Amino acid sequence: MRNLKYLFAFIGTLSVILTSCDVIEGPFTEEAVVGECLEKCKKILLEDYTGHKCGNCPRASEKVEELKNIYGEQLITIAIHAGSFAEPSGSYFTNDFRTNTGNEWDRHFGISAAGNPKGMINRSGYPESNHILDFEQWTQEVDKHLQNKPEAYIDLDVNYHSTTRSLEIFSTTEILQSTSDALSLNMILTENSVIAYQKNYGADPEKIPDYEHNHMMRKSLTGTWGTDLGQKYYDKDDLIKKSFHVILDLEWIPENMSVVAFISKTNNFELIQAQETPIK
Amino acid sequence: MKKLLFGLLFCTELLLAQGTQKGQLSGNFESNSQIYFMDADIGIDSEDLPDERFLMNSFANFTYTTSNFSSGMRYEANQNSLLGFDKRQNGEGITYRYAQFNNQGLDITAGNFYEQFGCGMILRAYEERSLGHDNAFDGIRLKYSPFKGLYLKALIGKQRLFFDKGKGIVRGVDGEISLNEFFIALKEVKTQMLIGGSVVSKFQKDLDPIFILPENVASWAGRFHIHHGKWIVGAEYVHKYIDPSASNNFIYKEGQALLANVSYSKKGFGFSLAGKRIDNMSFNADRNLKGQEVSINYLPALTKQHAYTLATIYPYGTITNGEMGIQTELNYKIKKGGFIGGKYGMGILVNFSNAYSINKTQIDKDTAIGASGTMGYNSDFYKVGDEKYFQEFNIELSRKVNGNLKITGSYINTHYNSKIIVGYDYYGMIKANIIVLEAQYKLKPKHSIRTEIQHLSTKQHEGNWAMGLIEHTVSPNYFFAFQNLYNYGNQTKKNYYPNVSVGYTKRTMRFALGYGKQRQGIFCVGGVCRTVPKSNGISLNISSSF
Repeated sequence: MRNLKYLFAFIGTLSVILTSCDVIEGPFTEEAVVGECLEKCKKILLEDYTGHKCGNCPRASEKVEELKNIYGEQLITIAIHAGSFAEPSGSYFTNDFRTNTGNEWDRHFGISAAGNPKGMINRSGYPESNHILDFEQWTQEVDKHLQNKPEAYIDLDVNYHSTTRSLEIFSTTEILQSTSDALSLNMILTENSVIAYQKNYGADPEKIPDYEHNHMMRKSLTGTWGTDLGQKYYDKDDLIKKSFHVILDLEWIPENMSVVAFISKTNNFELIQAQETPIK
Repeated sequence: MKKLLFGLLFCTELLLAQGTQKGQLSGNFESNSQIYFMDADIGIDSEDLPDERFLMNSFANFTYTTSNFSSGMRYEANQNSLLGFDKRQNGEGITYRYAQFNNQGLDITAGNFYEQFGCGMILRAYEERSLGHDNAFDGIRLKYSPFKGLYLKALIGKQRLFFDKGKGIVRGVDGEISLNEFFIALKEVKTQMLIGGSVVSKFQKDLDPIFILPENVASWAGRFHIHHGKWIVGAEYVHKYIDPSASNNFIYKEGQALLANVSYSKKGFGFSLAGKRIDNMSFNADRNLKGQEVSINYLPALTKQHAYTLATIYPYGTITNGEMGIQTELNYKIKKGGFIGGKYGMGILVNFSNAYSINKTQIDKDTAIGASGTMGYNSDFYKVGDEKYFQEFNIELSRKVNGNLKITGSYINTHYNSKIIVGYDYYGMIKANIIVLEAQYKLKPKHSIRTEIQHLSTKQHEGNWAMGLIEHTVSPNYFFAFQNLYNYGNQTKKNYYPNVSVGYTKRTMRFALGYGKQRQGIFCVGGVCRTVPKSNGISLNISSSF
């Protein structure tokens, strides 16, 4: 009889732990709130490392669009085709969407080596190896970064001449929080609606001939690690102006293209602000 | 913090020395390091080399024990981690420390501990250094046996995530009753019976802006084990409540797992059969992590664990989102005498295992199977899915020819769904035949030679492999080994992967120095895997204990 109390105590503990379970009967999703960008708001860069032979990557692309529906213009995306899944091969996957800068980022941050689809949010977590994120982790990470106040703001002005396919970009970086960190400005061209083959494990057949590739990185105008903003110390309200010029490749469709700019800390590559504007 | 820990460990000895108890300090140390080189033949250029060129994983354990008290710690220094290990493992520090005491049958552990409930399908915290896996708890554990035959455990803690901790808090209790000890009437009964049950729950804050997630997720398990003479029968069932996570693509479906086995053995003959069904049973202390880093449970692979190099090229990794499979093994020793049995008899071991997908159907016509934010899918418990993940047939014959020579021969036939297991999409189902011949020969007292000849043939993936190994051991201090792998039968590469190694052992101290090439591949232990990159370099292994 004395021993029975132990059994009851144990059963009681079991019951307490068993009831430690939340019951959710649906709906399972929160009401989507479209992000509203107030003046000079914080914007987040999501780098989606992908490849046309990566059968799981379309799921990450779907996640990108899902997040863009929620966060609107506060979320900026670059799809970087890099790694072995992005190599051209066979009779279907003949396109080469890789770029030198994308390849170097991929190698430096070790993204595709960790197995695409993977991504980075504002390059946060580097170099402690916490920067490589599965697409299921992106939502919370984006949400977390949006809680921070912007440290700078980028204003972009573009001027495109269709006859010469010449693009001029004028950027003005406004410092919102003083800092002594060295800062780099990166200027990237991306293209939406590139129709080409893509492998998709969720489709039947898996090889999709007319897949729409969005946010595809086309070119960096600032090399691999950007151009230095040029000051030793940045005071609040400092304005730093830069201009860039590029001739668009003939295969690119200007109507589908955007300029993505972002400012990163030179020492650890972490982003403090991003901006995007369409070319036309 | 570190000072506190050192204090805890070393001052304990002084404090106890003042009392009547005398303790014992023990420990061990291990270091694995490698210098990496470029190798154009196997495609390693300067970009593939680690910046550091020299990498090292090392650790030391110290344990102090008295009759009813023990404490210990592990210091790790991975500066930086060897290629193929998670880079989050880079760093140094105390990664394991604990104090444990037993008072009148109540065993209390404060700090880090490893634990397993049942066969681990509901909870298992363990370390597997070769995988870089360590999901030890940091918290409190109680073990109590109020009377003979009843064994209780309760724990609460967070799990190790490299040099950090997982976000989730894990709570669990486990009870096991040995019926023969518990009931006096069964004391003399020859059939040994054991029943057990566990409940495990985790808590993690819901910070997701899209999904409404359960912050508390519970699971329960029941098990039994019967041992009667030459027979052993056992089973465990686990049920997990809804647990949307990165592993299951955030579906709101409950999970379950069943593992059952029966075995019979007598002198010269043994037989076992095991079956399992796993459905949505990834149970992670951080719902946003897909890997095994802070996995609360462990789902066994139920396939034969191979030691021969070519037999490990296509290892099976458990598909935690759903699989069904069996494993059966038969071993028989042919009695000595005659042409087959010879002077010492011959051992035969036959093993067969497979794993298939589970049956999955849409919950309604508009919802894709496994779609996020839905109930996921329906699944008939008794129905096997259409897709084969893995199948292996293995036969091994071993025979001692004379007092100095022992020969072992193996044949393995593998079907390996590389697309599902490791994502080798282009190769699909890899079918391979592997033959191994091993001979151990005693040259003279203290000197022995071991050789292996292995061949793997397949028309898929990287094509055929051949391998030879020769190892000379001078007991108890030295060994020398040379092995070479040759990859051929494909259009893209024909490469050699030679390796030479020497070792020296003196009591509990061991040094091993190696030079050679490592093929790229997957390394698995018990269904948990990591990727091994190709490399060329000099490796040094040092281990010692006291």
